[in-house]
Amino acid sequence: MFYALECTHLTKQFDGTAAVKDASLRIHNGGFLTLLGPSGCGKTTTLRLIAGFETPDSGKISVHQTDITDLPIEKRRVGMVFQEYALFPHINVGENIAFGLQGNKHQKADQIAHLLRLLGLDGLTDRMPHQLSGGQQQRVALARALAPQPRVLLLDEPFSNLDATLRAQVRRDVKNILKETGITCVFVTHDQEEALSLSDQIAVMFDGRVFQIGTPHEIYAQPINRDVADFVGEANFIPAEAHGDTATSIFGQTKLQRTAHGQVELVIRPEMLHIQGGTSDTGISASVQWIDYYGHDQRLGILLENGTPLVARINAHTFYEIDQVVRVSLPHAVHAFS
Amino acid sequence: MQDTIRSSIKQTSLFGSFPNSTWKMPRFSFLYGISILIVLLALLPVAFLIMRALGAGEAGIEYLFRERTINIIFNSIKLMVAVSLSAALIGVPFAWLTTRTNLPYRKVWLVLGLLPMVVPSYLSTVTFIAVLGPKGILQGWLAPFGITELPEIYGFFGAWLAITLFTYPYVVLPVRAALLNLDPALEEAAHSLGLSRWRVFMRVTLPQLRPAIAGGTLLAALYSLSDFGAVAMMRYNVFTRAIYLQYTSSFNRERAAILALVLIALTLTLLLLERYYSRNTKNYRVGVGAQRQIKQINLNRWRIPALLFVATPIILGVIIPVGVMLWWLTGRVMVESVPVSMTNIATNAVYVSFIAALVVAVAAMPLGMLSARAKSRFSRTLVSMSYIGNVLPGIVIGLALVFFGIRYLPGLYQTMPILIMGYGIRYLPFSVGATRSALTQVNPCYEEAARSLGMKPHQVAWRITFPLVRTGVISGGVLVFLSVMKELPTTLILAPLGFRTLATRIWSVHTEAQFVLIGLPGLVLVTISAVSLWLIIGRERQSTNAI
Repeated sequence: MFYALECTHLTKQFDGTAAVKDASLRIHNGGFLTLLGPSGCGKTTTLRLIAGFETPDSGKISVHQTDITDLPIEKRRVGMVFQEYALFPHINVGENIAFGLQGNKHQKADQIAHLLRLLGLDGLTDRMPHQLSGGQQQRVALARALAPQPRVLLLDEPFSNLDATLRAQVRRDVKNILKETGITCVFVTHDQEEALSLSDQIAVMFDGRVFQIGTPHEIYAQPINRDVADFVGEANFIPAEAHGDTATSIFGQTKLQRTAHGQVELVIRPEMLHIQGGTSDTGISASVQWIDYYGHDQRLGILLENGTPLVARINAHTFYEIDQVVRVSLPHAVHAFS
Repeated sequence: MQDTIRSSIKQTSLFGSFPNSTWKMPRFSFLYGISILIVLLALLPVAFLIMRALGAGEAGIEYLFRERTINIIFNSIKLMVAVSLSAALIGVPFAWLTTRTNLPYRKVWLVLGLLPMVVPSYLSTVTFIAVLGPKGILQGWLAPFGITELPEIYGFFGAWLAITLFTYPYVVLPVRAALLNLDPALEEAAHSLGLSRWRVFMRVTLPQLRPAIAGGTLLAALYSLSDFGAVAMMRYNVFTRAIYLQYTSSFNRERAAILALVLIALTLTLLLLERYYSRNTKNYRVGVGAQRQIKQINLNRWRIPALLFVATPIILGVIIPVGVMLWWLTGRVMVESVPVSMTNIATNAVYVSFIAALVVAVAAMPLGMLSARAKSRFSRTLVSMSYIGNVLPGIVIGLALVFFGIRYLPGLYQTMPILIMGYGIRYLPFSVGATRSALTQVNPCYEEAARSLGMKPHQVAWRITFPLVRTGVISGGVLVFLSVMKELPTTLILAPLGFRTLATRIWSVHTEAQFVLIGLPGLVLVTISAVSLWLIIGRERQSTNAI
């Protein structure tokens, strides 16, 4: 497999402030890469650089091993699904989808019919964009972007304008459609849950830089620093002294996932903490500070005896009370960074 | 300066506001090239006029200090100050009464009160002369009672009355907006601190209204300087009339240029002041969030005086002019058939207005695009320079084109192309504004989407941008069309010999003292202005909704 998209050392400034700093990315053909980060981190600018809406100050963009950095937008064969969908308001659904199509009327009609079927939009050809629901508009936007068979499809927070109740379903549908077409996708979101559930690869961006690229599991389980760990899920940080494949901390000896030496910080996800009643003899003593009960599970705020506050996520059928003394342990190997 | 409500009622649109779009327009150099050319074409005549005036040298300075010249300056400033004061003294209470009190039918009064700006000043002036002038309608009524002489209407009084009635709505509008924006909690706080209602108004309300009053009053002042119809018909010797007289009778064009230069300087000074105050208006906004209903003030026994107060300018500014014209129309023209020349004139006017609207709409395209989409300081400067027609009196633009035409386009002097160019310079801002506001409503992501679907920039313009802005651009063109229909001073100076429009027809009828023939063209012109006003207000509303 080859790289369908490669960005190397992209840099872009607006009025003297850098929006993207030395960002490098690459995606295998057919892959799904998500740019994840807080708002203003440069992820949308990166997407617009790839689309050609902005020109990079330096760096190179290649699609299918061809340099497209200086190519005009319309020649890049890079599709885009906009956050606001950007369906042309003056033409109907069929004309919107046909907009980027070449060929005679007959060929176009065939392709439109195919796309409508693929996206479950049969019968909507003659509707105007304003007559569609949000979910339908979203699928028309996707169909329109897919129609000219772009080599790379860019999606700029396409789910953010949908109802929370619709979103999970639409997300799954879209993922299946994209898998079916086998297209290479770059997706932008600030929603970590969306990123984790959709992507093959995630690039976490902060302040214009790409901090870490990896599979969703790698990003979640082995964040390279505190920022990534904090942004992708919730995390507790405990200072420790690493010596090889173990580390010593307030929890005593803990196994490490990877060998390390010297001063490190352990990244402890709330669900990794094991909580037991006060009578148990494993773990260390702590007291329950607060409880957030969610139904399917609950989060406990606990305070270690040395004054360190931690968050634990536990099942929903063990009940504790505020100020109750519990024992906390770390049964599994943990990730550490220095 | 325009005869209708100028687009600067919403201060933002006078020089345009510029949305921050990160989108870059393709082929910018081409767009800039054309825009620079158009702006140069609009600026050159005035620049040439200024050069000529400055070139007059010592003779010019000598002329400037002659008693007659000093008199013109003095008259202009006197009229300007008087109009500003009276516009504020009518406009502020009018806005307050129709906004904050329990005046009966206050919404109706408000709408009626804005109507005087729909009557072109030369029309209301003609009717005032007909009613109040020597051997006028009023005198005819009073004659049986032995009253054979009325106070003189010509001169300062008549000009002041006509222009005040035409301009006070420009104070009403911003003051009303400011009143609606006030935070009622501030007044309640002042009351609870023990101030009487009057002192609350003086110490809390009025200071917050000051920027709106200043902005509206300065606008009225600008109109009083640039108005031609009223002062010329009332024979009050201010700049615009003096320039016209110098141009037509004495053929001393150098002197006309010198007067125009002083007028330009005065106008620009006022304009800078207006911009300064309108900038402050924004800072004065309070309580932007959800507000409680503002408490109405009960007028009690002041009801009748208040009603009389709001009715007076409406009677003088709308009912008398329209009524007199209707009377003329039904009284005479009904029995005589419409003179043939009238249809000729109407065809003329429609024809020239249509061409002007077309030319302006096309010329405004690149500037409107720059204004909506480019964010550089250079493009901003370029677009604001194209607003010169909105800033300078029509008589100055007409005169500038005469100078420029004689020197550089001798074959075109007193021909249609020069006249169209004059209209173009005057009304370019209307179309630039319309194109701009239509474009700002087109989300740039439509164009980006089209590009990413394989369209070249010109295909995007043709298939996406143009269909989406069409309505806005056309409404701008219609506005230009209507404005040209009722334009007076530029037409008087630039029209080819024998070429007449509705406005110049009224002008010449006035000089022939054949008032009754004004009925029909006058009412047509009032209708035209009303439609223009409606279009402008609609556009402003649309563009504010879009933001």
